[in-house]
Amino acid sequence: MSARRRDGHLRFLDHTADVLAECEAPDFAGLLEVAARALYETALETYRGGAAPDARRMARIEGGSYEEILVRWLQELLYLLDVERFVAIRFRFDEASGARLRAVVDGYVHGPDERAVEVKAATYHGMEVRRDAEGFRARVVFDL
Amino acid sequence: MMRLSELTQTGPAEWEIPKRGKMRVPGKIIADERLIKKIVSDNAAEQVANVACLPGVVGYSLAMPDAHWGYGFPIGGVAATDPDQGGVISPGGVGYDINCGCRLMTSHVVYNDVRDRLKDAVTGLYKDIPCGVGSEGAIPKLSAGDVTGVLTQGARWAVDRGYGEAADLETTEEGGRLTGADPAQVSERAVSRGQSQLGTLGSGNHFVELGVVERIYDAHAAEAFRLQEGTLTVMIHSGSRGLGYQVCDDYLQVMVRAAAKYGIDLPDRQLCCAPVHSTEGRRYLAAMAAAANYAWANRQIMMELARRSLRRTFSMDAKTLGARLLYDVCHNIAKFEVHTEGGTARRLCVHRKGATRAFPGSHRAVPSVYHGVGQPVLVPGDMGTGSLVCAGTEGAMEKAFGSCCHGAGRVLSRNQARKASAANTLLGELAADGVVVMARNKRVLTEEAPAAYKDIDVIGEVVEAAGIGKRVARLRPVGVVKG
Repeated sequence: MSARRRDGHLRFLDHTADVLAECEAPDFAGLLEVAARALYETALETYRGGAAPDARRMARIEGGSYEEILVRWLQELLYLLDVERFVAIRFRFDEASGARLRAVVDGYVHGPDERAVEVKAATYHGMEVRRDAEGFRARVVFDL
Repeated sequence: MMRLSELTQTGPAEWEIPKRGKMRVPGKIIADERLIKKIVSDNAAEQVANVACLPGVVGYSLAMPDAHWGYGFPIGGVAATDPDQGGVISPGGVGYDINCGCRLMTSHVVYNDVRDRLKDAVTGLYKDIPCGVGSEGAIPKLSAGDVTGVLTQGARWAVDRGYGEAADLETTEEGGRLTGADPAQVSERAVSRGQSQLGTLGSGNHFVELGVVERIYDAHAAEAFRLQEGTLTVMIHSGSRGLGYQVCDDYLQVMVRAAAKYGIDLPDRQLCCAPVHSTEGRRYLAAMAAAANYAWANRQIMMELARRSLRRTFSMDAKTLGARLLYDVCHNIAKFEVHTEGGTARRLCVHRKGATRAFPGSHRAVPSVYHGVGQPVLVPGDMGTGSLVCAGTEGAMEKAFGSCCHGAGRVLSRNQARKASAANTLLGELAADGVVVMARNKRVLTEEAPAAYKDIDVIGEVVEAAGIGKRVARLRPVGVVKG
């Protein structure tokens, strides 16, 4: 397995109007974590991934495919970000499949000046979660 | 990705994508040689072809001259479906920012008389209209009951509470209220997101812009629109904020399942949809109308905040300021309209994703003050160059389901735009051009730099060459507030 797949990899690609993130990880739970990082690196001035967490949230999502679980996971994090200013930095996935997700996320509540841009949504556009011998890969377009 | 050689040029400013694969109708792109290559190379043409696969789509899947790569639909996409022929409604054809749109106020103020107070005016607008990510607090937090009122009454809700005048509603598309709104179809999450954001601008490409009427193309139409050379204008670009995003998101989940339920095969999951006449389709349309009404109330409140702010800055009473709403248009919406298609008048569901309605002066939906002239079409350009005020035409009805473009359209990605100019350099260049800019965030500022957009004058020329609108006036920006 390549190092970047083992450690989780995030790369931003050009998109005319929005943000296109390419995410890779050795398993689906890892992919969800990398995609979360893509969201925060887009939305925040600085993603304080090394901060000490002082807040906790739960996520329970059901869906019909990896793609649906991934989009709904990002939408859940986006809702928490917009409404509660909650930023997840540590993730524990009790279940992460193409049918169900159960997660406990620890993080922090960001300050009033930490947001960079308004991410309206994580979209389904062109999304395909690919599974190969080394793990999972997906591209996500965020609507700004 | 599609190649230019796959398209056929059918006019000086029209290109056709012939039917292929699962396309049910051809595609049509309104563009000239200067615009078409970019539209094809950045995936927008491919997205036009994808939209042509939707069940019940009629005529053409269209792209306006400002079209660029979006998600699902291209930005600048127009498609009409026939509900009686299995036609669908697709939330992706409306977008997350439901009823994102523009409104333009004219004024009696001569720019040269107030230019020494321009910076104060921009500062006042920046303070008085909350802007930026998650902005809130323009008006006291709404109760859930208040939100229900906004969702059903739209701009009238705001006018009834002192934010503007009844006359404002006459020059707002649909009178500022889309019928069929049902708050019961809007989730609690969406309502909670809407409680504190009414009257706020948001971020990204949303703006409040002070402009000067720089050039009149059509004196007769300009007189009807009360556009006088040298006078100050105020343009506001915003939408339904978090409430609208949540409505779209909620119903995309519904539509993903609905598409499977109704056996709809899609080239892109973001185009997920349901028949207009289905339960899922009706529920979405009722929720979409509610979110659209929220957006109209939002722009109505911001406009009144702008009026108050300018009266204070310029020490003018309302009559002297003369701030009158020229028009308010939505450019992310689906609406039921009657169009002649295949030789017969049909009631169609017209999706406009980054496109503006552009009805001619003979259409009964056009406000009586603009009969014979055409519906005002607001085409904002970039913050350093200019914007156009156009009028709708019969050509728009014949060629584009009564639609025209909604802006200049992006040409650079956000990454490219950020690399192209530093914020301080950009602010200096704009100041040298006589544009005062106040922005909440420097990153957003550079992403919205003039170089990131197509040339608004090229867009205007193509609009006229294709006959989907006529230019009435050009506005030059002098003050910009960005979120």
